[in-house]
Formats: sequence, structure tokens, C-alpha cells
Amino acid sequence: MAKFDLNDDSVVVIVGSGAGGGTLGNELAQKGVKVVILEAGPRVEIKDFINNEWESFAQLAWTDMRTTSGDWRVAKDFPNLPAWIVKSVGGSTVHWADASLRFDEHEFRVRTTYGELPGANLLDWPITLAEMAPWYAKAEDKMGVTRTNNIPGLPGNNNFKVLEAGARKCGYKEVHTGRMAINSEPRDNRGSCQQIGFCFQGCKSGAKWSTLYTEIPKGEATGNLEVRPNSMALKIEHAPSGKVTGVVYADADGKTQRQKARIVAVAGNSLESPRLLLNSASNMFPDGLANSSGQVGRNYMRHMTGSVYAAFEKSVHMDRGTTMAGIVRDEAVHDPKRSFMGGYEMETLSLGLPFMAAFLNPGGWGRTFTSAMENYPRMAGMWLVGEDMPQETNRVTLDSTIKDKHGMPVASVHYDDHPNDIAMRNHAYKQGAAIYEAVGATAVYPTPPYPSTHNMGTNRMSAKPRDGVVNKFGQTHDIKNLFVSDGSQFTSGAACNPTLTIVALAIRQADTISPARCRRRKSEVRQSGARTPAPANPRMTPRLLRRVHDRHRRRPVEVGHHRDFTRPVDQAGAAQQRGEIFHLAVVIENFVVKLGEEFREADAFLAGDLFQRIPECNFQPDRRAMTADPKRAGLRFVAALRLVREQAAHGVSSGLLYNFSKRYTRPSEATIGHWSVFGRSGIPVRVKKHVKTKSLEHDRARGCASAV
Amino acid sequence: MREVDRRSKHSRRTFLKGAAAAAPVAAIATNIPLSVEDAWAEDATALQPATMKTLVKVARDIYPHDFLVDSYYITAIKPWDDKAAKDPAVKAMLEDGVKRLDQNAQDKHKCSYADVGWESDRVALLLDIEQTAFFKALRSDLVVSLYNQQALWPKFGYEGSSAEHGGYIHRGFNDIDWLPKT
Ligand SMILES: Cc1cc2nc3c(=O)[nH]c(=O)nc-3n(C[C@H](O)[C@H](O)[C@H](O)COP(=O)(O)OP(=O)(O)OC[C@H]3O[C@@H](n4cnc5c(N)ncnc54)[C@H](O)[C@@H]3O)c2cc1C
Ligand code: SF4
Repeated sequence: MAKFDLNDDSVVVIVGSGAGGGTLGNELAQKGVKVVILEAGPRVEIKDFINNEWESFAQLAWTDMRTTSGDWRVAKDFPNLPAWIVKSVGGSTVHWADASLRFDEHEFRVRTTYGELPGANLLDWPITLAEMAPWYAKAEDKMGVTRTNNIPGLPGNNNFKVLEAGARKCGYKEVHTGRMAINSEPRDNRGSCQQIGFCFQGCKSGAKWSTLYTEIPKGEATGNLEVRPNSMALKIEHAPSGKVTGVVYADADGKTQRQKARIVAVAGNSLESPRLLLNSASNMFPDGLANSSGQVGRNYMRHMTGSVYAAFEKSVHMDRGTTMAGIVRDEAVHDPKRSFMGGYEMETLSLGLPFMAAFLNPGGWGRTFTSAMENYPRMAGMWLVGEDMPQETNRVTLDSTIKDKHGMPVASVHYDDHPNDIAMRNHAYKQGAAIYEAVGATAVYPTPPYPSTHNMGTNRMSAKPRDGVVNKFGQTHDIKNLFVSDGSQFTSGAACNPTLTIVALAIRQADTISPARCRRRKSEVRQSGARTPAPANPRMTPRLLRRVHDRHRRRPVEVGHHRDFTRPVDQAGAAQQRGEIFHLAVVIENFVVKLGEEFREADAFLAGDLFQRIPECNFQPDRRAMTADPKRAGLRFVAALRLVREQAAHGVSSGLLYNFSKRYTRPSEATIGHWSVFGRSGIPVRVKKHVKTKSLEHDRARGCASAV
Repeated sequence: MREVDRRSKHSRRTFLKGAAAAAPVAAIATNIPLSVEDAWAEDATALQPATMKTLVKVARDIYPHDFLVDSYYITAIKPWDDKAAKDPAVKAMLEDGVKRLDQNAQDKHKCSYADVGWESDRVALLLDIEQTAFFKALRSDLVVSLYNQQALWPKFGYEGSSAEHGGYIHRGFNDIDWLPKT
């Protein structure tokens, strides 16, 4: 595991280790980029998870103070808990239910599709579905999403069966157990779902994808990633040039530390990311970092949500098994005939008894409430999740009075439902009730929204700097070495759950940040012929740099388009130019290390390739590392070998191979030509020609030695 | 379908354990379900025994479950005594809140709150104070302190922690048998 110096300014610092931050961290580490992840929460591992809702909540959830306002019901029911998200390594991917869906094509073009909607700040994304498709594919493969990559769907539990039967009776067509980032069969060194039923409390079997035990350990194994838990980022600092230089954070003891950085990526979830940018205001950026558009913190989205629970005459036991493996997608389309824009999904959901009491009808009491509670074992439940309208006035600001224990103003969340959200929710309540009534529900409970689990949009993506905070790569328009890597980039929210898109964007962003990719990008651009590379040597033109240059040419500083007229435009413009020069220096520096990195990548690739091709019998387990029973040990070894191969096939990680060979094999035992696949480094090493190869005499090995 | 045994084997033991914290040993030894009249309330250190008894009655009226004996409500209310001991403001809120309830009951029914005969009459009295800090604090605490008691989960058909039993994969996650064929 890497450990980087506080003064090492060659690292990329990522704030937050959840879906966005954890993925970006691993992707960069795999490419040889040095990364420090600062995570506010502790590191809680699988063995520590608790199958108890409130205990688990206390263990994992973000319970630090937040404040609320607006007409949404959450502000009334949970005034200091606007969001139900995680503060621990892995972020909300520890809590999440793993529904992993792609946006529809029109959901990237909402302004064009929905038109001008009063009160809504609609904007098209600067990317299209076609552009995202390859990144979605990578994300699905990484996360092992069912119904993609030939992975079978999960088996339906009781709750799903009720939903399915009712939905079919209502004529719905697209009904299945979902596209879930939960193993329906063993994959990626993780077992399959045991139907434990506490998906929200951290999956004790590791069947569901979470950055906590996938991305992060993989990244750490490369030696390029350091995760610092209990490290709360307080402020991002910048040089007079405007370029960010590092992050000030409070460590486990509450002491202030300063980690230098060449790039900072913010991924603290959509409430904390804008809070951090706003709290980093300086003389030069008085409204907070990357906020020349005034859009930081604005357009907060949390999805149109609600639940429908229904009671039946006989038992359902909805709490048994996977929490969210069930979906009806027919209403997710955009069909203005329903008198609202956008669509919504209906997904199975169950809560345990303690959470049911807290969330069924917050504030409710008396016989109506308790008779519903007594129906618990006979209940089925679904969650409604649909596109909510981005509104400029729905926003995260710094609370003017309340500060956290580090003295940082807490996030204040304002949200009003848009009339479109309300119309959609009412439609969804009606359809949800119809589904359950079709199979004999005796009572239906339209349950109000829980604290937000899907938080989006507070640093939105935009083609034009005046409309948003980041460009299509999550790079801030204002500061070239400052990135946003979480759901706050979303320009609009779509009907579906957000995390697959967050992960796809993070993989894509890693490709942008990583210097090793510059050459490929350059050739892409050259093919399109759209741009002329500016600097003298086109081979040395990384994409970032070119964008700096382009933007500079196309958009001279315009006075007057900024919403904030108090900003000293000239000074910022000058700073911007200085920033770009500094950035150029950084890019050149990256280039110097690039060749070395490419070498390393090639090495790892070669090793991975060998692992794929050499017949199993040539791999020899290290008996000393095995149990007394040679047959079982052999089987275990073969299983481990197949797993590592499978992983290697999905993206070569030298650390993975290294760990495998270290754990299971003796050094330099089997040789193929001059190469030993068991070099301790995990990559092929040259060994002397006459090394004793006892393993080849082993009977499993016989007849295979010359196979390669 | 596999159903949950509501008289779960643990219930007696956990019942005793749960009640032990709140009730004197003598009351348990006789194994008579505890009632508001029992001596446990005398144990309160900060609050008046009568206040504790009324609070338990209020708790039942807020979340009435006729299959739950008083011990569950006592367990849920008992921590307020400790909170009152630590914080005079809490103590005042509770004592004053109960006093007001009793006063309202006197005015309407000529008896204390706990002695009002019908639940619906007591609920009417609670509705009058629904917006007070006293009621809000009591209710929002109760929704956790009552329903989070493991001992009462089987009575609601909820089985709690499942990882240590290997999940539900072999314990009926998909054993529903009454749905119409689709
Ligand atoms: C109960 C639940 C169920 C869900 N189910 C689904 C689902 O089925 N499908 C789906 O797509 N999505 C689901 N989600 C949403 C999903 O978890 C989030 O969309 C996703 O994890 C967001 O990723 P993120 O990177 O933006 O933030 P997170 O994953 O929340 O990570 C942010 C991390 O940053 C840390 N952090 C914040 N501020 C700081 C700071 N200043 N310094 C250091 N660290 C900081 C936080 O502690 C946290 O660990 C669910 C969420 C919840 C809570
Ligand atoms: S139901 Fe499956 S995915 Fe959910 S926690 Fe259990 S094993 Fe994990």
C-alpha cells in the first residue's frame, strides 16, 4: 500500500471514496498515476457490517449536522437529515441497493426534448448516449451488472413476485429482476448473492459491488493509491495563478493537514462537493472555487421519489432477500400524454421493521399507523424513482450560522418540489397502487419520500462555461486542474438510479486525466480534423492542453455574461492565463514520466496475457502455502487461478497478478522458455536457463510443457 | 411458506431480560405481565412515579399494539428517567407535559389522563397537544425505542439479522405460494 508525503505535489488528490471517487482512484492507479484519496469517514470492512438497521445507520451514515428549507416533505420530517448517505470508505456504495441502469437517449437532451418549462433550469448535457455507450459498457463489466455481459438476472424474491404478478395484470411489459450490480453467480473474486436482505446495511457476503472492497483494494494493490480514512477535506487551496495546489483537511485527531496536489478531484457526493468548493472561497475567487457561473450548489436534484407499500391477506415477507432486485420500466419513458415530462421507474423495496416504523408515514401515530405496522409480514413494497426538474433555486449553500466540529459551515439544503415532480409522484402513486390492487391488496400506503439517497446536479456539466460548473469531462470550466467526479456533475437526473452513470463518467474522466492516454486522444482529434494542435510538436499535445488553448481562442473573456458582477474580471482573466501556463508545465512534467508508465503498462499487459494463455497444468501451487489436503488445495488453487484470469481479462492489474503469485506459488518454479510467470513481481522475469523445474515433473504438468 | 413463530423461543428469555432493566425482580419472579400499576415506576429517580406511569400509558396510546404487554412500552419509556436526571430541562418538559395532560383530562373527564376509560378519549387529549415539544419529543423517540426492541420483532413477523443464518437463500426468500399464475 502506498504512502505519499504531504509535500508530494505530483499526486492527484481525490476527496471522497464513493462511487465517483473510489472508481476514479482505482482507474488512475491502474494507469500508474499516484493518487491520495481523502475520506471523511472511517474504514468499515465487510466483517464489521451489522444486520441491524439503526446500529448500521450509526456505524455508516453521514449524521453530521445539515440544515434544510423548502416545501419538500423531508424538510419537515427530517429537518437535519436531508440525505441518507454514507460517511465511510466506499461512500454510499456501502449502503446502495445496486440498481444499475443506463440513461435513455433523450435524458441527455432534456432541454431539447422537454422544451422550456417554467421554473425548470433545463439544459442539454454536453454528451450524448452514443458517446457514453462504451463507458457504460466498461462500467457494467466492472460492476458485474446482471443482464449485461451474459450475467444472468437475480432470482426473484417474494416481494418481486408480488410486483411481477400485479404489473403483468396491469399490462406492463418490461418487468424483471433488474440490472443489478450484484453477483448472481461468482465473479470478480466475489461470491453470489445469499439473499441476506440487508443490502442497505452493507452486504455481508460481498456479492454486491461497492468501491470499498472492489475498486479501492485493487487500486491499493498497484502501489499507486493511498486512502486516508477519517480525513475531512476543509478547503482546496490555490496559487496566485488560480491553479489549485492542494487540500487542507482535518485528520483523525482533528489536526489540520495540508496535502499538496497537481490535480484535485472532488467526489464528496452532491451535498458535500459544492460545500467544499464554496468553503474554499478566496480573495481571488470570492464566490467559491469554479463558481464564475454562479451555478455551484444550484440545480440540486434528488429524484422524484416516494414508495407504495401494500398489505395482503396472506404473508409476503418482503424483507427476505435482495432489497431492490425487481423493476417495472414501462413508465420510464417520456410520454407527455401523462401530463408531465420525463418518466419514472418502479423498483421493489423493503425496509426492516425499525425503518418501516420511522419511514412509513413520518410523524404518524395512533391506530391507523399501528394497524399498518401490524401488517408488516403481509406487506409488499416498491420505490418510485423518476426524473425531477433541475431548478436554480434548489440549492446547497453554506449555513450562515451553524458550523461543524472543524469550524466549517454546514451544508444547508433548499428544495421545493416542481409542479412536474408532484404530477409525476401522483401518477406513480396511482400506478403503484393499481399494481398491488390487481393481486388483491387490502390496504395501500402511499409513503412520502425518504431523506435523499440520490443526490445530483450541484456542480452541473455544461457546454458553455456560463451555464454550469464543469465541462463534459468533469473538469471545472474555471480551473483546469480541478475536477468534479461524482453525481454533482449531472446536468439532469434522468428517471433511473444514478450510480452506473457516475461510475461510467469516472472511468471516462480517468482516461482524460491520465497522461498515458494523451497520444490516443491526439490521434482521435487528428482524424476528425476539427482542430489544429497549437504547440509545435503535435506528438506532445495532450488533450487537456489543447482544450485550454481552444477555449482561449474561442472565448475571450466576456464582460457581462457572468451572473456575478462583483467578480474582478480582469484579475481573474489574468490569473486564468497564468493558470494555463502553469498547467502547461504540469502537462510537460506528465509527459516526462509518460514513457516509463507506458513501459510498466506494457509489462503488466504481457503478464496478463501469459496468464490467459498458459495451460493450467503449468502453474504449480506452492505446497507450503496450502493445507495438508493436497486435493483440496489443488482445487482451491485452480479456482483462484481461474478467478485471477477472469480479472486479468477485464483489465490488467499488475498488483493482482503479484498478489496471486505471492500467495499461491513458489518463485521461479515453472518456466516457459526463458520466462517464469511466477516472478515475485507478478510480471514475467527472465530467469536462468537451467533452473530446476521440479514442477514440470509433476504428473499434471506432463504433456503440457510444450503447449505454448 | 415459511412463517415466523410469533411465540419465538427467545421471547420469554428476552422478555425477562428486557423487563429486568425496568422492573424489580419480584415482579418478574411471579411472571405476571407487568402493568402500569406495578412497582417498577417507583424505581424512577428523576421523574415522579406517577409521571412514569402516565408516560407509559401515553406511549401505548401513541403506538397501540394490543398484542404487546406493557413491558415493551416500559422499556421504551424508561430511558427518559435517565435523561431527566441528567438534564433539568428535559425533566421539566416531561413533568409539565404530563401535568398539562392530566389537567386537560380533569377539565374534560374529571379524572387523571391514565384513568380516562376509552382510548379514543385519551387520543383526543393527545391531539390537543400534538404540536407541543413534549409530544413531538416523546413520539419521535418512541418510534425508535419501541420498534427497535429486538424482542418484539417476531411478534410483527420480522426476523432481524439474517447473515449468520446464511441469508434467506435456503430459508424462503421466494416461497410465496398464493399468487395467481401469470
Ligand atoms: C440506501 C441507498 C440506496 C441506494 N441505492 C441505489 C441504487 O440501487 N442504485 C443507484 O444507482 N444508486 C443508489 N444509491 C445512490 C448511490 O449510493 C449514490 O448515487 C452514489 O454512491 C453517489 O456517489 P458519489 O461518489 O457521488 O458519493 P458517495 O458514494 O456518497 O461518496 C462520497 C464520499 O465522500 C466523502 N466525503 C464527503 N465530503 C468529504 C470531505 N469534505 N472530505 C473527505 N471526504 C468527504 C463521504 O464521506 C463519502 O464517503 C443508493 C443510496 C443509498 C443511500
Ligand atoms: S441480499 Fe444479496 S446483495 Fe443484498 S446484502 Fe444480501 S447477499 Fe448482499
